[in-house]
Amino acid sequence: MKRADLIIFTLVLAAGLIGAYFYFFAGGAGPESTIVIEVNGVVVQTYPLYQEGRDEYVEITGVNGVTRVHLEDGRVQVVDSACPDKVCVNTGWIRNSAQVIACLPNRVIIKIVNAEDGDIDLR
Amino acid sequence: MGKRLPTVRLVTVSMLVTMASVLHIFEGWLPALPVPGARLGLANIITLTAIVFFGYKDALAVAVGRTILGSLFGPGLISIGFAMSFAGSLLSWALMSAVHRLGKGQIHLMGLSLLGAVAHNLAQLAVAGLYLEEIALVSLLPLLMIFALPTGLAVGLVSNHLARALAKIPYFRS
Repeated sequence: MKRADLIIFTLVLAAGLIGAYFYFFAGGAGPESTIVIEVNGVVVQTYPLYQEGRDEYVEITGVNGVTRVHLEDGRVQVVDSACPDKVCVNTGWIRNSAQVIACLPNRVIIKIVNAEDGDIDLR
Repeated sequence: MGKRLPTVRLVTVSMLVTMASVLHIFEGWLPALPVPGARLGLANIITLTAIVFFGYKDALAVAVGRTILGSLFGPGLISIGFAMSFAGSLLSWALMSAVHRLGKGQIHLMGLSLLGAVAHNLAQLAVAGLYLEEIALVSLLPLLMIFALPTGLAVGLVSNHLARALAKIPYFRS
């Protein structure tokens, strides 16, 4: 390891940690936040983020097949999807507006939109 | 490696592409990693070794060839998976080559490999973001960057050993 390597290592670590902080904590989520599910760039479903005692499974039809989504109070995850790589399932729960679940082969996106961010793009 | 016969070069590059493709395919079989979209980057071992040992052009052939061959055994060429690994492989080749040239031996392969991994992640997310028209995907970059620290350093270390082992083969000594 030379000095340049240490600089590269430190920069990547610092950028990663700062970014991860934003990813996990800075996104924000309030009582007015909405879970938005898009297929092919079009909003197909919206749900309130917070709903006490919710334990609900919904099925979203993407371009390849069905994506099963699990909704709870304040968080959402994908439990199964018609895709080979399962990146979306692997993403786990998302809880704030900085986070997003994407299933590329099925073209499904799940994100959280805060009230103050306003206009959910209903195309 | 300046004065090699064209045939020797062709065979060398072909073997590098083969090795990189095998690593690419093998990596596809491994179970998914905890960070969405994260990869070990095993095939990058060959690209990086090619950059420092055989030159930028041969390394480019490896970077392009292994994504095409590797994808033929996986998702196929008309797929978002191929577009992502192609863009990632190309950008990481470009960044590693540029920094290798600018660094003039002052940067260890571990540093180069780490930069290559970050470039790969960036290109991958950019392609995925364009495909889904969702810029928010870039928020995954920090997680991938943290994950790239151990994998990038390991890949750099292996490439370093590989390049040293190659240098011991009299035939490749120039």
